[in-house]
Amino acid sequence: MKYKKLNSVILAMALGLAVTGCGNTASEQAQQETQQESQQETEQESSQETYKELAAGDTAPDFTAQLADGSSITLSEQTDKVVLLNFWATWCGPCVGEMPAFEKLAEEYKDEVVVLAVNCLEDEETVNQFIEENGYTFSIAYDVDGSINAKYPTSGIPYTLVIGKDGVVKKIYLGAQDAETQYNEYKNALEEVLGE
Amino acid sequence: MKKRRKLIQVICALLYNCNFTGFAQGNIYQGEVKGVCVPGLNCYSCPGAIASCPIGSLQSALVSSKYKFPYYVLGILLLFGVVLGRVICGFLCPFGLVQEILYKIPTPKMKKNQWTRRLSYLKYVILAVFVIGIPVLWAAPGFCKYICPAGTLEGGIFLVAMDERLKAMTGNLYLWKIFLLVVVVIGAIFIFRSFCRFICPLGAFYSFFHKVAMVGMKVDEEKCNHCNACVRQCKMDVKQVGDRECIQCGECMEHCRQCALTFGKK
Repeated sequence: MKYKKLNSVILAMALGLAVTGCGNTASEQAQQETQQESQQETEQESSQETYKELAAGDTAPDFTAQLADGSSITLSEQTDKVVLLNFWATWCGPCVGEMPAFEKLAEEYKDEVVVLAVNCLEDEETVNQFIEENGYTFSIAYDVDGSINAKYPTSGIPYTLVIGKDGVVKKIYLGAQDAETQYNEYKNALEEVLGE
Repeated sequence: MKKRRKLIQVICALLYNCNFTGFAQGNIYQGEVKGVCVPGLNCYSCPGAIASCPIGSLQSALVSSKYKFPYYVLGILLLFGVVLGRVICGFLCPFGLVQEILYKIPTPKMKKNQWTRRLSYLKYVILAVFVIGIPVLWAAPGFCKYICPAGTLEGGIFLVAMDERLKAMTGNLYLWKIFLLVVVVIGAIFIFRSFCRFICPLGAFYSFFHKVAMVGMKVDEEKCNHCNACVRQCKMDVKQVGDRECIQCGECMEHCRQCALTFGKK
């Protein structure tokens, strides 16, 4: 009996926290929806398709991503550059661990390669804070509603693709070791695809 | 009670993992329900899983907690704890069911003793170090990565067997996890629910709520003659009915001649 009060306090706290957690995503989603209304016509067409996990040789599904620096990028417009496309999240240790490799590659191949890391469904504030803290300058994109992620289904992240100038997927990586190993791995792949 | 409990356990295990096509395709369901946590220990990466594991979600949330406070997962864990407490262990946990089935294999069984009682504190260390410490300090989901045999059983084996790329990534850590799973499986055959009693951090968390949970075992002090039959017959490391080690399964009711034990709203 004497624990009844404690019980109610914890219950109230639990509900408060859980609802705040849900509320966050709901309001962010609403925000996102209004932001995306302008793009909706093109988005809707593609969102009706179902996407299969990609293999080397497939055409990379097109998307337009909102970058954290305020600009946007469309995959199909990168006809003169090879794209190193990565999917990541702040809660994913291996993703965060390999990020220095992307920073280095983006700097080294400034004129030939677009390095683009698309976040997996986290809110913009989380992504911004992450970038600020780590000081990354390469292209990092939001995907709050998961529409880009939906086009690139994968059983896990980090998930990284090398996409040729012709828009065809050349190489696919699932998982990552340390930044140095990944740097060498991606560098070799980029050299190979650039040399084609 | 016994039959009803088994039925609830089986329904739960099926309900948590009702994405049956995932088993055939060897992939993970990633729909919207996945954003919700089930109360029991059930791996996110099980091909059948339609929702997330609370202890896995907690670790993920703690890994990125410096960017975002883990409101939802803390809230839902508190909610599960304060409403059901370790009733979840007894009724709603698929990995508990798996261990109970393994214990049915007829072999000599190891009874609880002072050593198992001492070992029961280990799960609190695992909760503190692997579920909270490692994710916060080293940004890795410590329990999922280094220990969880439920993850190895439900996700690890299936997915790796069906995906060549994942197979190529396996190494010593994978072997370690398989070894641990074998130890836990063998352990569960000889020692009742040994994983729950000694290792499970989710059970450890829910055990904090044994005094406040809204549902569970009740002792009618007026009927009880303190014969201790309930505690002696119980296979968990309990010192009294409804304490932190009690998974509220209600088996003690059969052994109480005074009919002093009931299960329900506290």
